Amino acid sequence: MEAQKPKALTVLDIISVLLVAAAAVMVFFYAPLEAVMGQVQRVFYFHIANAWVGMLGFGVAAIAGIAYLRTGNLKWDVRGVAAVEISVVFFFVAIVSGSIWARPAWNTWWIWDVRLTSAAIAELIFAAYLLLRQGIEDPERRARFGAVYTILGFISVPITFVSIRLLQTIHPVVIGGGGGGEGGFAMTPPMLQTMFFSLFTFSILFIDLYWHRVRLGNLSSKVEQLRLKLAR
Amino acid sequence: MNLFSILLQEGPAETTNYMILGYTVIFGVLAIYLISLYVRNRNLKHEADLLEQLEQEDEAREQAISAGTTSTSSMQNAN
Repeated sequence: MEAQKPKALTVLDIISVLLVAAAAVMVFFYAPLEAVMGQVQRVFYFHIANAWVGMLGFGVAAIAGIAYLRTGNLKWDVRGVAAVEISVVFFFVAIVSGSIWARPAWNTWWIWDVRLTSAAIAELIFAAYLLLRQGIEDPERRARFGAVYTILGFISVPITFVSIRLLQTIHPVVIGGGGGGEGGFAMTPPMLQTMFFSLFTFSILFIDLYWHRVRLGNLSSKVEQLRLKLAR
Repeated sequence: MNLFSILLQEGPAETTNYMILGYTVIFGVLAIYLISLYVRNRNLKHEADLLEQLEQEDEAREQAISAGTTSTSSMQNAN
């Protein structure tokens, strides 16, 4: 691992913080108050951005899994686990923030709707990946397992995404759905701008966190190698 | 505005508390994750430094042993 933090990463840290602050300003002061749901609708902007980062990371992990199986290079395993860890955190936030929004909108915290259920299953699949990895000591076996698992686990992501478009569901279809579903709403231009800015912000935040997490993974690999060397 | 019109007034629902709860979770979990990254990084750096130190000590000990063996065998050869 590079001992010194790259300058580009420091710059990216600063940009990420500024973007998150700007997105928060847009959410609270630029986007108008939704006519029916009121203030809780503002949760939607970061809820959707968190869900996006969750799905993005699971996709990155699947790509890293394919790259590992093709090359056998352990750096892809480090990249895969980094993406999964970040995505599990963000997807968890998406599920919880969605539940908070649902309480006033649907009058319930949770419902076993197709979207909510498929999202919960995707989250559990990848949370299990993090736990199961820890039980495998051999780095190459662990990487092979991780690669196959993330590729198969990724199947849950498109299922979660298209579930509300193909099946009858209570969850609103925000993009390309015309504000349908229970609690759906038609977005005004400032709402759309805030949503897309939040998506952009969280994409940059993902890149920043991913870079940090990959560096941490490299350091962890180095420690593991040193431990094995000293144990011999 | 009389009482009747106030009761019939349509407007956004009062859901500010849910919004506050939502953003507390969003920023709270993000903050916890950032702290966990920082702590793990710090602990791993400490561990890496310690292991590198142990590795150097091991190497130094091995060199001392091999040097000792060489000098003993050269003394035996001289005898």
